[in-house]
Amino acid sequence: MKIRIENISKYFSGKAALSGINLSFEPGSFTVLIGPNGAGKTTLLRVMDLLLRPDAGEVYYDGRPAKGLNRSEVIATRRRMTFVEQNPIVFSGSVEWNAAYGLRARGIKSYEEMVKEILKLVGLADLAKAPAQCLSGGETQRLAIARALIVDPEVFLLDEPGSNIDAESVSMIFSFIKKAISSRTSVILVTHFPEEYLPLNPMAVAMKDGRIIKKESLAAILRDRADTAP
Amino acid sequence: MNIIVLSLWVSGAGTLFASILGIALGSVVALTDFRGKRVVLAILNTWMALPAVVIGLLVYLLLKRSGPMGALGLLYSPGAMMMAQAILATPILAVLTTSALQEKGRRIIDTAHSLGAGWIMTCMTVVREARFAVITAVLTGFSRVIGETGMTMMVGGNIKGFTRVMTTSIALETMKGNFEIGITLGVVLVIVALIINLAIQLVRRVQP
Repeated sequence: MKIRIENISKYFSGKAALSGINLSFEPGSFTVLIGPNGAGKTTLLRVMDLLLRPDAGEVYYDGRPAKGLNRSEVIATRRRMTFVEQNPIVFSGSVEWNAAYGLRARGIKSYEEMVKEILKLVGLADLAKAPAQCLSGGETQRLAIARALIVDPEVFLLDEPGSNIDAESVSMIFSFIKKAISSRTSVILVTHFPEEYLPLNPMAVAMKDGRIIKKESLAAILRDRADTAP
Repeated sequence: MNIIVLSLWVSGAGTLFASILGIALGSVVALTDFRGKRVVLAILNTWMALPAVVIGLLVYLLLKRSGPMGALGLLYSPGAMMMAQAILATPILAVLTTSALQEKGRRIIDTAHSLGAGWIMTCMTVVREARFAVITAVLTGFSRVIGETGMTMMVGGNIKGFTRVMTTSIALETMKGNFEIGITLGVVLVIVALIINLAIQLVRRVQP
């Protein structure tokens, strides 16, 4: 799915969280959003996932404006994306019940094998029957990634997925992203450690105070950063 | 025995009506943004702080023969007692539901939406996640109304075999000097209160 963001702004209590953002994401593209806390990165992901409405501007999904979507079309559009939050919540119920949530939402009834496979992939197979709310922070993050991946999204939105997890899990995310891009899934990722994703040659969008201050390849941005470092 | 059954029936029905209204009201306040939300919250908190006898007086004025709902003929009936108890418990349920959902409710909705849930599945998820807090709210409301005396007597009339419940009976028997009956009913009321509080503790323990 192609997403085009046209001049969007979003305000919270009169303060601009996003201001005049213009971006476009092609299918199979990989983009990292970088910038300090409060730059508007998470707000941008939430607007893209149709969880927040922009106060101005428009987001287009395959050319269709978000404002023109009725309630069932909003749900259908959301089902083409998944969003992994920085501090995801899991629902009461077992790990496997949580992993299958998105599949049930899409009316898929037979999912046992898919759940087994995805939990094995994220290293939670042994905890399949355990209560999800008893997982550690890192395990919760991995479960959130599993339940996002299992629905095979066209757009994968990740908000600092490496913040709660160990090095092994970060490399796991890296391989998921690599696989996702190769199957034409767009990946948009917020991170404070963009260097980890340099081998995948992503585009980078640097944000500050709700505005885009730079938009070019991650390699170029990191090179500029190195050049200007004292 | 009739007194005990009637007490449980009146307070159970009153709490049920209060639950329907209070949980719906609390959910709307917690999960939606609208103009005047703070005013609604202030009204709910004030309503919760109202002395029960004031609610009794209002219900009495509503149901008395010349009152706006006098034609219903509900005054001095179990229906009037249920109505008063429902009005007493509604803000308790609304405020407890609001505080239960306010913290996590929005995040539950957003997570369900981002995973592709439609409105029905999202609502079911919110109810499922908040069930322990809601059960606790219902039990709290029930324990509040079953122990109510003055208001229940004002609108029920304490008519033997018709509207006499445990609390009004204890008050009457004590005034008559029949302490044995008063103490017996008092013990039953304490046991009911104990069961409710044990249930609340159990629900809190089960909650992960």
